[in-house]
Amino acid sequence: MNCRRARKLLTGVSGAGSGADPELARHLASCAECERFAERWTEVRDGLKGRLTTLTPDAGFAARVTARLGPPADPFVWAARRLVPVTLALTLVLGGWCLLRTPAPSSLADELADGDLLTWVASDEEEQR
Amino acid sequence: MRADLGTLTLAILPSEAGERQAEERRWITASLDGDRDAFAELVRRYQQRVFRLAGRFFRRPEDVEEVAQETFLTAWRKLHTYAGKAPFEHWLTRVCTRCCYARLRQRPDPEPLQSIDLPVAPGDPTAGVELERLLARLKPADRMVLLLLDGEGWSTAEIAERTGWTRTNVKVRAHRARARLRRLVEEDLER
Repeated sequence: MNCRRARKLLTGVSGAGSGADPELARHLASCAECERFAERWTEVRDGLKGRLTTLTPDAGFAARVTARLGPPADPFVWAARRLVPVTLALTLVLGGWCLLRTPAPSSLADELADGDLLTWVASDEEEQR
Repeated sequence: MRADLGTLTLAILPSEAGERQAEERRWITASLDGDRDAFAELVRRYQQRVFRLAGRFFRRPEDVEEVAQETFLTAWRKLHTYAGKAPFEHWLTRVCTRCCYARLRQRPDPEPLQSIDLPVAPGDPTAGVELERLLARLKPADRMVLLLLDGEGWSTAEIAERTGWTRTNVKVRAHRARARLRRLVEEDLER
C-alpha cells in the first residue's frame, strides 16, 4: 500500500480506521509521515465532532423574535407567486401558437390571383360590405 | 407491582406525547391566523434545538442568536407551507439548516479567530485554533457538509432532506470536502 492509498482510506466517508484494515495498519507502522497524518486527521475529526457553541437562549429570546414578526403570510399571495412561472409559460405557448397560426404575407400573396397584395390590403372591400 | 408500574408508565407516555402534539397543532393553527402569542409558544418549545444546530456552524454568540431569530422569522413567514405530515421539529430543522447555509454563503470568511472563544483541547492547546484555520479555508458548502456529517452525525439522506440537495449531490460534496480537508492537513504537515 502506498501513502496516497493509505490517506484516502483514512479520510474516506466510511471513516475506516487503521484497525479496520490490517494492510493500512502495517503501512502506518512502517511510515512515520502517514502515522503523523493519521494522528492529525483524528484530531481534526474529533474537533469537528466537538465543535459546538453551547448557548442557552435567554428568557427574552421569544419576545425579541415576536417583536420582529411581520404580518402573517397570505397563502393566496403565496399561491399566486407560485403560479407566476406557470402563467408565463402558458402565455409563451399561446403566443407562439397564435404566431404560427397567423398566415405569412407570402401565403396571402399566393392566394391572390394577380399577386397584388398591396392593392388587396388597401382596398375597402370589407368595409363596403 | 413493577409490571403494573411499567404498564402505567407505558400508558401515560403516549398520551403525553399526543397531548404535546395536539397543543403544538393548536399553536400552529393559531399562528396561521396571526396569533403571535401562539407562535411565541412554538419559539419557546424549539429555541434550544435551533440554538444547538446554529451553534454547530457559528462560534460567536451573536451569530448564533441572529441565525436562530432568522430561522423563526422564516418559519413565521412560511408556516403555511408546513403540511403537517412530518413532525414540526423536522420542518423547523430544515428551515434552520437552510438559514445557516444562507448565512455561511453570505459571509464566506468565518469570524476572525481572535474574536471567538475557542475550545482548548487538554493535549494540545492550539488544536481548536488549527481546526478553525482549516475550516476557514474550506468553501461554505464543504464546511456545511462536514459539520453535519461529522459534527451532527447526520446521514447523507438526512442532510439531503434538510438542505434540499439531492443525495448524490450530498455524497459528491462530502467526498470533495474530505479530499480538500485532507490536502489542507497534508499542506500543514509539510510546513
